[in-house]
Amino acid sequence: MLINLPDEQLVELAKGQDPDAFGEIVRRWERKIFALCFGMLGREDDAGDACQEAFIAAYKNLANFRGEAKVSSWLHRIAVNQCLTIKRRQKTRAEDFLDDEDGSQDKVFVAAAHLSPARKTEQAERMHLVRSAVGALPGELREVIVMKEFEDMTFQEISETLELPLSTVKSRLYTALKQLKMKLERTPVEVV
Amino acid sequence: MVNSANRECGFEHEIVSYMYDELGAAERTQFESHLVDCTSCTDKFAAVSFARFSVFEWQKEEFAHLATPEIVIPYEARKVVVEKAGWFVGFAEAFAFARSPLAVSGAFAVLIVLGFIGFNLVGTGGNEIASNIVPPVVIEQRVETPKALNSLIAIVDQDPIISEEVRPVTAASREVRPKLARPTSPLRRVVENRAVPNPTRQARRAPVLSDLGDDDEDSLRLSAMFDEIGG
Ligand SMILES: [Zn+2]
Repeated sequence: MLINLPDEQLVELAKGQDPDAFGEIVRRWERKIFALCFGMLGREDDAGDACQEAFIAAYKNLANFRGEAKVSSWLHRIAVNQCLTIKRRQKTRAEDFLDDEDGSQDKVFVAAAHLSPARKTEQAERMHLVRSAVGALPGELREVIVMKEFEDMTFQEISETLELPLSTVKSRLYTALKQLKMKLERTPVEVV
Repeated sequence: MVNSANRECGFEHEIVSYMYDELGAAERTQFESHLVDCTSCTDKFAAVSFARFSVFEWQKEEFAHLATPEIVIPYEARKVVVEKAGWFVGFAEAFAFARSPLAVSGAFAVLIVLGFIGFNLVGTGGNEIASNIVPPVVIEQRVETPKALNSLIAIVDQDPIISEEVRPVTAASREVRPKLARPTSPLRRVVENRAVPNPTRQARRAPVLSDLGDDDEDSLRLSAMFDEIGG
């Protein structure tokens, strides 16, 4: 069963033209690569494009994977490069069409596609998990996450509100996100 | 490429700033140049991005679509509470030297008995006494109103807007409150006006923060006034 194989072995199988093996890599990593792209680009639609392009680039470059780094690190690097390419492209476009947009990187809520019942259940479980994980964070870490993601405040604004140095706010958010990631990984949601 | 074992490359603290697009142009370019070469930072960036996206998704699924609740301040309810407490509080303050509520109640009882004897001495009938010993009547005529209430009364009398509200002269209100025709103390007017349902006030819904205009200024002034007297 492919699902039980480690990443490195899947890559070796994929190099040998096994499409299911690469499919398993995609299934295993798509969400995290998508999240990474979202972190880089700040927009869901751009992140989707970058994620798609990153996996295509990975597939084309399978032969270059030497096993020196982990598969995850290799995918991360490919995704970062794709995102930077997209950013450069966007910058050029913004310069070409100055009146097109204000150039800001606002988050855009793209209406979710119609989800299958299984996907909805998975989504609901994931939301429950995130809610519990955020709720389990120490108060001082939780508040910076909420201020950033729910109230859309800048680090400077949070720093002024909480009367904390800017560096403390940033390190708290970083710690909060790291702890959150660990909590979320401890109980993974089954992808149907 | 920077060795992934090199955990402290000095750019770690820039990760969240970059992720939330809060770096200056020069710092951003510098960070991006570093990111393509540093496996450690790339992996860390991926880790926090994953957590961030989970929160973002949660925010979007369960919060973003929620309508902001309409905030209604129950000004009316607060006034009733203040006024109900009014006569006993006024009485208690007048007897501030007595430390316990029991002592105040005792003093109150003594006043009633004295009133009863006084009425008997002037030959008033028992039935009339029973209807006259309703607490507000006794208090307002015998007890000196405390300072705070006096200042309230002064504000009520001076302010045309509040005075208008305290002494409505519509035909409807006269019908409901025929006794108001006789002269009473200003405090009494405040208390009685509140106790009797006022059709014009009842028809009004509680003011909402968003729609407080000039018309609602009286509500605001009254609430500020009750704040002043510590209500
Ligand atoms: Zn680094």
